[in-house]
This record gives sequence, C-alpha cells and structure tokens, in this order.
Amino acid sequence: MKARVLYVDDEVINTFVFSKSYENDFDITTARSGEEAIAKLKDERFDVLVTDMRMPGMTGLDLVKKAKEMNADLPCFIISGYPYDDEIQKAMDDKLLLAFFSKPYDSTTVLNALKEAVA
Amino acid sequence: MNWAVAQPRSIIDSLQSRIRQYDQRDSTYVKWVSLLSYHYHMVDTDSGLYYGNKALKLSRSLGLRYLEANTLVNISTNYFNLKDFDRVLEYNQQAIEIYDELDRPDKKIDPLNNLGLLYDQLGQWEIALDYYYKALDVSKKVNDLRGESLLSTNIGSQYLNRDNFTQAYEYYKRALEIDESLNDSSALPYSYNNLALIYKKNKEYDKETDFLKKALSISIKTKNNHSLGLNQINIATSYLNQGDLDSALYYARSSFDTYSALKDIEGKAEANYYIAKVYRELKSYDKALSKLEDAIMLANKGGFNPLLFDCFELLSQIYEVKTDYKNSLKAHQKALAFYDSVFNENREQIVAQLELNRNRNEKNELMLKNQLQESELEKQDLIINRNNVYIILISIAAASLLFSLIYMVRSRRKKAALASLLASKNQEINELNLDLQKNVEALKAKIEEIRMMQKELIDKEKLASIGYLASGLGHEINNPLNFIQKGNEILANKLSQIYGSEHDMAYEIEIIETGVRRIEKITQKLIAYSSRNRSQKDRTDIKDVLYQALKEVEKKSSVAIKAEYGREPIYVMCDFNALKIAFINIIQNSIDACDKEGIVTIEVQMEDHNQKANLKICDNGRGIPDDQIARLGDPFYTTKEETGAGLGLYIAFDTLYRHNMSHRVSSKLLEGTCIEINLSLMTEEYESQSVIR
Repeated sequence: MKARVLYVDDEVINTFVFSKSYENDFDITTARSGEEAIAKLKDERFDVLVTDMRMPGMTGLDLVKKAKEMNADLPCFIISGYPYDDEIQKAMDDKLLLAFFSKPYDSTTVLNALKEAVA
Repeated sequence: MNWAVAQPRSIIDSLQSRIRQYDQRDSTYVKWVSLLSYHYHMVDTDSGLYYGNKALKLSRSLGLRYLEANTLVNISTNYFNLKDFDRVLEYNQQAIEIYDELDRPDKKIDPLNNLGLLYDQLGQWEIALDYYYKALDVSKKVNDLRGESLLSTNIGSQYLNRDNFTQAYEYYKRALEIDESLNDSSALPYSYNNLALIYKKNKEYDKETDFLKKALSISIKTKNNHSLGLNQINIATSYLNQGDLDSALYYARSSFDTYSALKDIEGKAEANYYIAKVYRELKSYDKALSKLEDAIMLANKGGFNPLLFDCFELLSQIYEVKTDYKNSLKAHQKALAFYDSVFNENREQIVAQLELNRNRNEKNELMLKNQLQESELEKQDLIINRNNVYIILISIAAASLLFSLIYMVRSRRKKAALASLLASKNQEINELNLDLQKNVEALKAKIEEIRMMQKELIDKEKLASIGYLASGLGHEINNPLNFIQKGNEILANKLSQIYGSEHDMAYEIEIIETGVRRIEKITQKLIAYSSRNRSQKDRTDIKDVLYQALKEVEKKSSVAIKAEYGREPIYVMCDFNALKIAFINIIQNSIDACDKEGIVTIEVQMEDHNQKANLKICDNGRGIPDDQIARLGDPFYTTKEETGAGLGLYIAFDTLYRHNMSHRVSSKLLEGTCIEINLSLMTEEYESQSVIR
C-alpha cells in the first residue's frame, strides 16, 4: 500500500502537478487551504503533510502547528514561493518541519525527502 | 571708448535690486545708494547726483559720518564729469576732513587721488603730482597695494605728460609689479598698455607689441571684449608702425570682429578706420576707401566727431595719393569742420594757428610759383592749377599735423585722466565683483550639491521601488514557474511512456526546462536580496569585508587583482554579507570587463584627516560608452549576453545606498573603468552613541 500524502496549496495547478508528479509513488490527497486540510486531517489518517506557506487564511506554518498538535509524529514539509526565513528556521529548530523547499522545487529531491520520511 | 563700459550697467542693476530690500534708515541702504551715485557717473550723471544727494542727506540725518565722507567722494565723480571742478574740490576736501576726524587715513587715498585728477585736468600738473604723491604715501603706509598701483600709474602718466619717460617707466613698472603680484586682472591691462605706450614713445615697437599682447591675453582671459577690441586696435597700430602690414591687417580685422559681436558702433567705426589705414599702406586704395566709407557711415550714426575728423583726414590723404585733388580738398574741409566741433573751446587758438599756417603757405605758394614758371608753357595752365591744389594740400597737411598733435596730446591726457578716475574706483568694483563672484560660486556649488543629492535620491528611490517590485514579482513568478516546470516534467514522462526515451520532442522539452532554470536564477537572486534587506548592521572593519569578498572572487578570477588598503581598521556600520556580495559583484564586473592581461586594482584612501574613506575599484578593461554609464546598475541591464542577469551591479549599488555609501563611475573607452565608493565611516559621535545604547 502506498503512503498517504496530504498536499495543501491554494493554487489549483500546483495541486495538480504535485499529484501528477508523485501519483506513482504515493497516494495523494490535496486541499486548497489550511482549514480544509485540518478537516481532512481530522477525518483521515495521513503519513506525510506537505504544504504551501502563504495561503489565504491560515499559513502553512499555522497548519503544521495544528497538525502536530493532532499528531506529533506527522512528518511535515513546506514548499513555498517565498524564501527561507527566520520563522522557518525557528520551526526547523522546534522540529516542526523536516525540510523546507523553494518553488520551483526539484522533483527528485522532494521525492527522496518524502520517501525518507515514510520509510 | 574706455575699459569698463561693460560693467556699470550690470552693477547698477544689481545695486538697484539690493536697495529695494532695505529700509531707508538702514545704513546698508545708504551704503548702496551712495555706491549707485558712483556707478552712475559714467552712464548718467543726473541719476548719479540724484542718488548721491539722497545718500548724503540720509547719512547726515542718521549721523553716519563715514558714509557721508564716502558719499562726498562718490558724488564728486559725477561733478568731475560735469566739469564742475569747484564742487569736486569742495567735496573731496570735505571728505578728507571727515576721514581725518574718524582717523581713517586709508580712505583718504581716493579723495587725494581725485584732487590729483582734478588738477591734472586743469593743467596744473605740479599740484596734481603733489596730490598723487600724498595719496601714494598713504597707500604705502596703510599697505594698500591696489592704491599704490593706481597712484603709481597716475604718477607715471604725469611724467609721461612731461615726456619724462624714465620716471614714467619706473612708476608704470612698479604698478605692473603690484598688479602682477595681486594678479589683478582689472588693473593689469592698464599697466601693460601704459608700458606699451612708453615703448611706443621710444619707438621700440616690438616691445610695445609684447606688452599689448599681454594686455590682450588678459582681456581674453577675463572675457572683457571691450578692452579686447581696443587692444587689438593698439596692436594693429603697433604692427603698422613696425611695417608688419599683414599682422596689422589681421589685428585690425580681429578688432572689427570683436566690436561687431558686441554691436559696438563706435568700435566698429574705429576698427574700419584702422583697416583703411593698413590698406592705404598696402596701397590698396579702393579697399581703403570702401572701409573708410563704412567707418564714416558708422561714425556719423553715432556722432563720433573725433573719429570723423580722423576718417576725413585719412580720406583726404588717400584722394591725394590718387591725385583726386578735388575730393581730397573736400575731405579735408570736412575734417576741419569736425575738428572745429570737437575742440570748440580752443577755437581762438586754432584760428591763430591757421593764420600762422596761412602765412607760411603763402610763402610756399610764391616759391612754388617761381618753380612753375620754368616749366613748359603749353602745360602751364594745368600745372598751375594742380600746383595750386598741391599748395593748398601742403598747407592743409601742415595744419592738420599741428592739429593732430594738439588733439593727440589732449586726447591722451583726457584718456589718462578718465582711465585714472576709473581705476580709482577699481578696488570697490573689484570688491563688489569678488563678492558677487564668491556668491555665484557658492551658489553654483550648492546647486551642484543639490543636483547630486537629487540624483542620488532618485537613484535610491528608483532602486528601492524597483527592488520592492522585483522581489514581489520574484515571489509571484515562482508559482507559475512551478506549474511550467512540473507540467513540463509530467509531459516529458508521458511522452517517454508513449514514444520511448528517444522521441523527437526531447529538444522542445529541454528548452522549456532551460528557460525555467534561467528564470529561477533571477528570482532566486531577487528573493535572496530582498531577504537581506531586513538584515542587521554591525560595526565592521571594511577591510575584513573586502578580504572576504576578494577571497571569493579570486577563486574564479582570470585576471590579476591588486589590492592595497593598509592595516589600520576602517570601521563602518554594515551588513557584512550584503556588503561582501556588493563588493563581489562590483569586482566581478571589473574582472569581466578585462581581457586576459587585465588588472583590477582595489585601494582604500583616507581623506580629510581620516574623516572620509574612499574605496576605488578600477580596471583597465574595455571601458563603458558615456551613454551607457547612466544605465549601469539598472536592474536587468547587462552587456554580458551569456552569463549575466543584469542584477549584480543593481544589487551592489542598492546595497551601497542602503549603507549611505555614495558611488561614482568614471570610464574611458579602451582605457578602463573606476568605481569610487565613498565609505560612510562611523564617526566618533556615532561610536559614542552606540556605546551608550
């Protein structure tokens, strides 16, 4: 059985390309906002959370914090169009995030990171 | 013509505008009104007297004794021009008394000199000389070099009037020495001209020309075109006397050009007269006549009678050479008419001289008649007629020679008096001019400074707003870029699944990927840079920053880099990494401009007693065309087709601005480019503040 990945991004095309890229390796569910993602996390079990940073409403980091409250062991990643900054650094230090990727991200690097997370 | 025609009007205008800013009871107001009186004396004595009396009344009612004395001297120059010599005497004597009372011997130079000029004008040369010497003594005592120069000139002129060339030379030379030591460009032409005059008297024309040319070069330097025209005429005359007709013609024509540019009718007329004189010597009589015609037309227009006298005299001479006796006689009669009108006051003297000449001419006539009787009978009538004309002409020539002499002496004396009078106020004009010049310079500097600041501000604003826009854009681009890249990957995978790995759309897929990577590089730079803007600044030795920057650049540099920046630390407040990247970008740019033999030099210079430091990064590369210097540092502006995104210098310059470090780019094609950075140092004040914090 494939590991389940929840991918969150307000850009529908990003959710599309992410799903298409990794459909052979993972079972991918997508959400268009932090709020929608929380609802899905409550209902279903996921092995990995991958989220965009800046979205209308909840930010990616807010979502990660909530998800961690619900499941402290859930591996979380952020893929953002914005750069690595102090906030991200702090989240990494607090072990909220496994890794941070900038868009456009390298497909293989992300794939390997996800595989490692679920191994 | 005189040396200072160009100036009074502009000074008057400037004074007029100044007095409007003051209250009548303000001593400054009185001072300017008093000066107006002086400056009007050359152009409008009515106004001169009006302002003078106003200043006199005000200074008396306000009890300003010093200004009262100044005003008396200033008004007197107007009375001098009106030939009211009683008042000149009275006013200057009163002024001297007041200066004595106030114990201001230094101010006595002007009135004493004026009294000298007065007696000079009245022909009482002993008394004039006495006053000049008194004024000279004062100027020496108070160490007033300009005064000493002026008085030496006036005394020299006195000796020249007495044909005492040795003494005249000594005093003129002393005046010249002072003018040269003061580099006084308004007085130097007088001195050169005076010495030239002495050499002319001694018939040392080559030396005369030398000095005239020195005066000429000053006229050119000071852009005093009125004196330039006069100088050119004088030089032309000197060459004429030396028989160098080509040079004479050249200078006479130059003077015509000078006066034409000035639209100075009298000058143009005079220049034409001298050109005609040269043509006469060259025996080009028709050309001479045509020039004289122009001169007479112009002189008539302005009513310049002395010049008309000269012109008709010359005309008469030329007709004589052309054996057109009728016209020669006519011209001479006209000349005499003008002579008469010019020197009306000496009419009796002239009549007496004419009488004397007539007697002589009668004698000559008789003698010639005797000679004529021996000539052929058939031609007798004609010859008698012609000889009659000759006799008349000889008599005319003799008379005119005498008149010319009288005229020359008088006009020279008049000129000298006027020149001295003018020179007597040179100091004040100079001071006023200097003052004005200083203000103008200061204003110019300020305007330049403001312009630079404005440019810097615009650049800074431009960079900042473009930076803000660009970094925002960078972020926004990343999402669609992600679509393209991932979409491309998915497409590539699908194509491989359908057609196998060797399908014929591989190249198209690849170029999309290349494009995406290039855009990615740009956005990365922009984003990395905008994130740096939020960074912190620390007290840092700029040399450490340079050292680190150099370490990185040298790794991949293809050219030699010479760096010299001493050991003393130079502290600035900076974001180490941001500034390091700025330096790297600038140095890299210099390296890229060089070929293999290129050298990049980096030096730091301390200025203003270590208050300022300049970092210079120079290369000997291909240089930047002028029209491209301004674009340097614009984002996405690049000349490197393959490697550059056009952001390196943009980021560098913006970083400098954020550190309050201004920069300047200078470049010469094929010689290289220098970028000079004014490092904003941590001042002691700043340092102590930061300690308190």
